[in-house]
Amino acid sequence: MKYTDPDTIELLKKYKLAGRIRFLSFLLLSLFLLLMKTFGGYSYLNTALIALILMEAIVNQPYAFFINRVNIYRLQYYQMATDIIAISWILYYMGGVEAPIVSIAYYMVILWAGIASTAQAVFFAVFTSSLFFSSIVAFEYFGYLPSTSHYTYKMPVAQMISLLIGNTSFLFAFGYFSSHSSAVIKSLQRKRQEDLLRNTRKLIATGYLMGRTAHDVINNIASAKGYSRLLLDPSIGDADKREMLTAIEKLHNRSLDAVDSIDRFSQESSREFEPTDIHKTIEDAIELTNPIVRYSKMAVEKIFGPDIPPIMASGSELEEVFVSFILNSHDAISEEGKLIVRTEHSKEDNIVKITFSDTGSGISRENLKRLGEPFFSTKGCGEGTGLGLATTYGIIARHHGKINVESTVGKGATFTIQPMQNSGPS
Amino acid sequence: MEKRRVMIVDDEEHFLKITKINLEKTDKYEVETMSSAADIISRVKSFNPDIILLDILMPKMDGVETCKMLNEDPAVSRIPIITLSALDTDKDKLMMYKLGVVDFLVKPIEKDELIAKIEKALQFK
Repeated sequence: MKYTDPDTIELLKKYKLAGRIRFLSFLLLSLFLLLMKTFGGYSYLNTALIALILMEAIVNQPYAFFINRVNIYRLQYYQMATDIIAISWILYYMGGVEAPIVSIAYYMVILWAGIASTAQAVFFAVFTSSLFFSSIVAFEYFGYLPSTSHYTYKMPVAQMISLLIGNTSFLFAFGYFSSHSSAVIKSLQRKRQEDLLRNTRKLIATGYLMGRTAHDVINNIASAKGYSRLLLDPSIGDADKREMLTAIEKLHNRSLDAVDSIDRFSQESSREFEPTDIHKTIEDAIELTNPIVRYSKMAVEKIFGPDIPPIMASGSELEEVFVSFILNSHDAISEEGKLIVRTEHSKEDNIVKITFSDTGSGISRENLKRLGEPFFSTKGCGEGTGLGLATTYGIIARHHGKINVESTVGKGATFTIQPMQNSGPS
Repeated sequence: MEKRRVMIVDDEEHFLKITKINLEKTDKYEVETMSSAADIISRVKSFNPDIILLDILMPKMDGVETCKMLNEDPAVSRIPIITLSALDTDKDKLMMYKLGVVDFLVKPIEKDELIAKIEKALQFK
């Protein structure tokens, strides 16, 4: 079984690490028991107990071997169950409730489930630990299991029941803490990964745009050089020379604008919200992608609605989103096609709606469902040039907006963005 | 001496203008320029050029498509073509030769190199 999705690969790494940590902890516990025996501590069935612990520790190791052969999500439940059974037997042999130190091992299993797995796995670990602990204590108390206790004192039933309730409550409370704290850690890790992915995709998009912009700038410089040489030619008339000087200035300005916009795009986006002219932001995105779009089969049409007020937004982040949509449409259109960028303003709801509608290859129903996934792409490695829809979804969500996608395979796709007006970042 | 007719097809207006002036200054060429290849067949038939300088990267209809179209028409297929492009990898050069072009120039183009290549291509015509 070969795992390809990043979540499972990440889980596998943690799983292998957790296996090694478990091996070491069981080894240390064995050593501890050996020392106890040597220095006259517990003597009852100690040899069998040490053998059991070592066996558990060794048995745990080949799990790594099974990882690629069985379903990892099911395997972790088997592993937790065997751990809890082993811990429970150790607890029993060491005197049941007289050996509270052993019950710490239950907490280790619960903590591991929280770090390496899901909230369900934590619940499973808590439930199984409580069940086994309570069963051993109760069975021993009522005589269904031979007593391993070294003392003749027998606690009252009420004390035994409160001990079980107390222990179960502690296990559940610890499970709650473990799953919640690990959820926070996982969410921070995911945020970091998504930021990294966003930066990487932006770098790719910048590189792609830069390549074509450089081509245009080189052509401009070459033309300026051509005019400069002609200006030195005495056979060229004054009127022509004036025209050439104007052309050189235009070429110079065009190159500066192109370099300036790519420079602006390549910088880290400002996340500050300020009144933003949505039409200017769209124009900037179209201008920035022009060196690529100009040579494609895609025509860009703008249908801008009247009286669109400035919206509270990060202009540079919205420009990233628009560039991404334009590049995606460009990639989707292989024959003659069109991208229509439309803006509308609803005065009643105070909402600005922006639509990017193309006549490209469209998106299948299965892929539509997965568009928001951070690592999802239908393009091969190095083919995608947009920021990725998960990133654009994230940016629009920060603007209190949403993206609606409609598509028919072979007919095109329509992305509708609705950023709310006059609101700050979330 | 009769002037040789050169047709230049490129979307860059400044390049067209500079190249036209440079070639016409030599008094050896009569130059016609086109900023797109949209109606190239009819323009070629009416101007009847001795050589075509064709840009590869053009909006709408690129140089590759234009070249194929010219090759398919027996009335114009014998006219030598020199391609102009910023593409200069071995793969690009091979593609241009496969298109049947006599030579290619990598942008930015020097005037002397352009004239030398035009002269060389016209020798075999």
